[in-house]
Amino acid sequence: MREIPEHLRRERVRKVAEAMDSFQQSEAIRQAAAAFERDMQPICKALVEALQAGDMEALRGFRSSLPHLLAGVNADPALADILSHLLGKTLLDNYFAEASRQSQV
Amino acid sequence: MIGFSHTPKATQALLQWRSRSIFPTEFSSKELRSFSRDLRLRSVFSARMTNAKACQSLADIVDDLLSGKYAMAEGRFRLMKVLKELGYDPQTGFPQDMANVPPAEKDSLRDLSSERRINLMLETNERMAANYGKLKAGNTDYALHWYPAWELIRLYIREVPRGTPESHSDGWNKRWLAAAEAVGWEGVSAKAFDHGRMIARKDSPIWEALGDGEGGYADALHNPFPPFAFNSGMAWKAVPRKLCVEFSLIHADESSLPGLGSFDPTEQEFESEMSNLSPDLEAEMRRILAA
Repeated sequence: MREIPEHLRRERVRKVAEAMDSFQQSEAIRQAAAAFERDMQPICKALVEALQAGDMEALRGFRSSLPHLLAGVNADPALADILSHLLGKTLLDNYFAEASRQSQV
Repeated sequence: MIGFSHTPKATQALLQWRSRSIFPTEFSSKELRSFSRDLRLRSVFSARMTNAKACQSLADIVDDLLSGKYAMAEGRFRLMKVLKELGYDPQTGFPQDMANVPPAEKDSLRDLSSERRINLMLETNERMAANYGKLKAGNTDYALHWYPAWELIRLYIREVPRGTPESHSDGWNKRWLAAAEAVGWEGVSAKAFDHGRMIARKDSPIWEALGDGEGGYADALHNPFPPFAFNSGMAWKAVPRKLCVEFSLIHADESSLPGLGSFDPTEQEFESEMSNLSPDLEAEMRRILAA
């Protein structure tokens, strides 16, 4: 098989890296960010209430309730479903890409 | 062992995969279930830790405020900024002294900071998933025979790669050398290293050693497949049999054994994530994630 010239190989590597960078800005990232926001809404709401109460006691109450709030949020995090779908797709895409590459001996 | 309350379930991608009529390899339904379980464990663990870290950043500010490190006005300002990063819409009611936090535009991407926050987590997980897929595809009988080794190469360009003076860190050549020496060069080609290449058999313990940060590297991810460290741009390339024979890694009539790998969060990864949480949040996370 003919060797790919070094400058073309570098160009290909650069394009792959650029494609990955652009993926990071993709809709998948936005969906994960939105799921993270949704997960954190009960905690945001509790903090806003504490801030609007306007005294240290309210903030102290918020601080001590954080572990309990986190438990509620983490009982069924929306971010997990987005991650599961995304990671599953990535895993299989790469599985098939590698298997296909290696079968072309 | 880390346990989760979720029942592992098939992802859409796995269901699609199962529905295909022709597979390049022969995965059993047990293996498919194991993939699905691993994915689910990893996803739930990562999501929960991301939420816990956000709670920790809020707790840190409140603790500093209550201990007198900030004045009330500054502490509240910092809290409102975090709220905004977490997607809180200030137009639904900021306290009055928070009026100087710019309001979010309707339908705009308001949470650039939270997006950045999850971006690194997502990128690391995504690359781990990609290489886990690669590891599985590279360990079929066919792949092991014709491509018995992996080469560690730079795939992703970094502005400041490890090993450059600006990075103030060791490069991958040094990490490779430390890992190779730790495993006595078992399955590692010294000849290739002399030619400036990092090549080892798929069953070499060097991959575990690299993942464990042999040589004292604290940024390791504890997986026997790339990325071996946070934000690393290094990746695997399968090495053809002919080259492996040339580099004395394999005899012409020998095959390599499969390397091991799991996509589960490792015990070390679990402990390292927990160590960044305050005692009360850590206790709650341990309870949630308890076996």
